[in-house]
Amino acid sequence: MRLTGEIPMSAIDKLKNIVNNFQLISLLELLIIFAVLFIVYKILFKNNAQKLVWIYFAFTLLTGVYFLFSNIKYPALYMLVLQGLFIVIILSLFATEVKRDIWTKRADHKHESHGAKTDTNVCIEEIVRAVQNMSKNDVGAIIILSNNNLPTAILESGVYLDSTISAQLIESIFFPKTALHDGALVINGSKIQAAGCFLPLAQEVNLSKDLGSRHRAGIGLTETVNVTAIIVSEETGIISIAKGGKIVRYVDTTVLRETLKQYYWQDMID
Amino acid sequence: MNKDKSSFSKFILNNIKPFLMALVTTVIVFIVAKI
Repeated sequence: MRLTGEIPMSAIDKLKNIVNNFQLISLLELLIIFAVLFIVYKILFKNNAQKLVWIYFAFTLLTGVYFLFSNIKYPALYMLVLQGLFIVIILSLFATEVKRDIWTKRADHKHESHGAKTDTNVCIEEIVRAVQNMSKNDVGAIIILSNNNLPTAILESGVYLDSTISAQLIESIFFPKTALHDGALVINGSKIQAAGCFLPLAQEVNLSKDLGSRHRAGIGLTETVNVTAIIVSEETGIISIAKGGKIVRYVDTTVLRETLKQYYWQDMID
Repeated sequence: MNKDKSSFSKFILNNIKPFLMALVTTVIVFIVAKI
């Protein structure tokens, strides 16, 4: 039994009501909401959090449609609580990532754009050649394919290079007993951004015993930052690729080339 | 000219998805706030 005696409005009536009562000030409200959402979406998209944006989008869409068709008394209040809950859940689930993005200043170096397709192909071929040679000669190496999203602390632990990618340079950097051979080489777009960088090691205890510190560093980094690591084992010359905290071992040239293509292709649409 | 065109299409590609998603979310949030 309804105490107020009001007849519940249908969704269409509600929409008509909103259109009829639309004022100029509402336009300002719309603009502010839009601007905030657009900026947040852009930041999330730039940080490769597309899935999160889609989840939030679907969540808002579903709750919005539900409130439109239901006759709850204060839908805006419920929406506010639900959105708040959603944000709290996301913040607690992705605490590390959020902290990283908030507290670590991102590298100042602007991402190089790859105008010509040939440039990209040259970069891919140079990296593949260097990795192949190092694998053949059992030279240990770790190459990070960064999307300009490495914490500055990591880059600053090494030496800034900002040089063109060449197989000879990569091989020279990893040549044993040289000053930079022990750290990671960071590739950002068509440039070698830095070399000799120190990376966080994976804390997982269940990793295979024959994975050395280079592999652990690759896994450790890729589980927190959205980058790809190419690792060449010093003992066996085996090429591995780490991504999202997972490592694929015994990678052949085709897979390596495919990974690099994916990296540069993604870079072109970014 | 060709470069301009490609950078423009890149800009559109970059921004169209967040733009459309933000637009739809804005409308939903606005409607819920007003009903």
